[in-house]
Amino acid sequence: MEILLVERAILELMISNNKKGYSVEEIAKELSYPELVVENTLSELMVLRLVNYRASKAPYELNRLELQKVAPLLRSKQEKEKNIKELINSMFSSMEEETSFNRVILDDFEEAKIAQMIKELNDFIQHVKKNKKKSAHSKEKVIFVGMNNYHDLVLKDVVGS
Amino acid sequence: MHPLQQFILQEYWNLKGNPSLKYVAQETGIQLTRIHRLMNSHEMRISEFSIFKDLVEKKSHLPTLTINVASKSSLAELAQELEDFLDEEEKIDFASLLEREIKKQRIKKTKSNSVLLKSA
Repeated sequence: MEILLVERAILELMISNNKKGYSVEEIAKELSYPELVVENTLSELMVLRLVNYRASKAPYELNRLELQKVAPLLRSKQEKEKNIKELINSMFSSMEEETSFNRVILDDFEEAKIAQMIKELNDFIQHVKKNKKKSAHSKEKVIFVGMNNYHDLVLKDVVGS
Repeated sequence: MHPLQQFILQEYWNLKGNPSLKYVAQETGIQLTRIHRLMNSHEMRISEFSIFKDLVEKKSHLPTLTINVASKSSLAELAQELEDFLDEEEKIDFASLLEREIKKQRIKKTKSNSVLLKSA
């Protein structure tokens, strides 16, 4: 079973609000996604039996029984890795000004300095995460920071880890 | 001009010793004007590429595989070839990747099909 980020977002919304049923319009408004995307995603979730449809004003309901069965998969390391790769892919396919990707030769001092800055940034992000309540999905940000050896990455791309 | 097109035309021209366009048209069954266009960087069709490839393979000592690999054009062929290289775990990963892509295309492109599901 494959769960896309957009499916995960809808499931998370339905779980967190603990309401009985949702309409397409309601989900689209909450997540700020086009209604067609929401409706098609709900169809995918219905195929997976994670969402049921009952003719009413708020017809889409979470199938909690089925969700329990797939919860370990949703929380698995492999699934999270897939999601991260997709996020990074999206990030670089729409390079914003704030997104930078650099290939550079560093001396020991420069490398240590950048490593320290990355650590400080990560510590700050963890601090913010700890003290922040979950807000609207559309307000969330993705921050991608890291440094690696170019040579190792090139090799890994071919031979794997 | 696509490097493969350039490669196959160059191989053909070398093997035939700079043939006339008329000769090429006769041998390949491709119209003279079309040959002229292909020489002037118009994109070659797969069927045209196959004709040149077959003629070059018949005459040259080039390893067939080199040309075959280069001329792979359909997704199914590429997937089939990839399958021969992958181990079981890699196959599962790749299938998962394809499945996700297909799902994304369905979500992005399909006009809502939930009507069918709702009535099921």
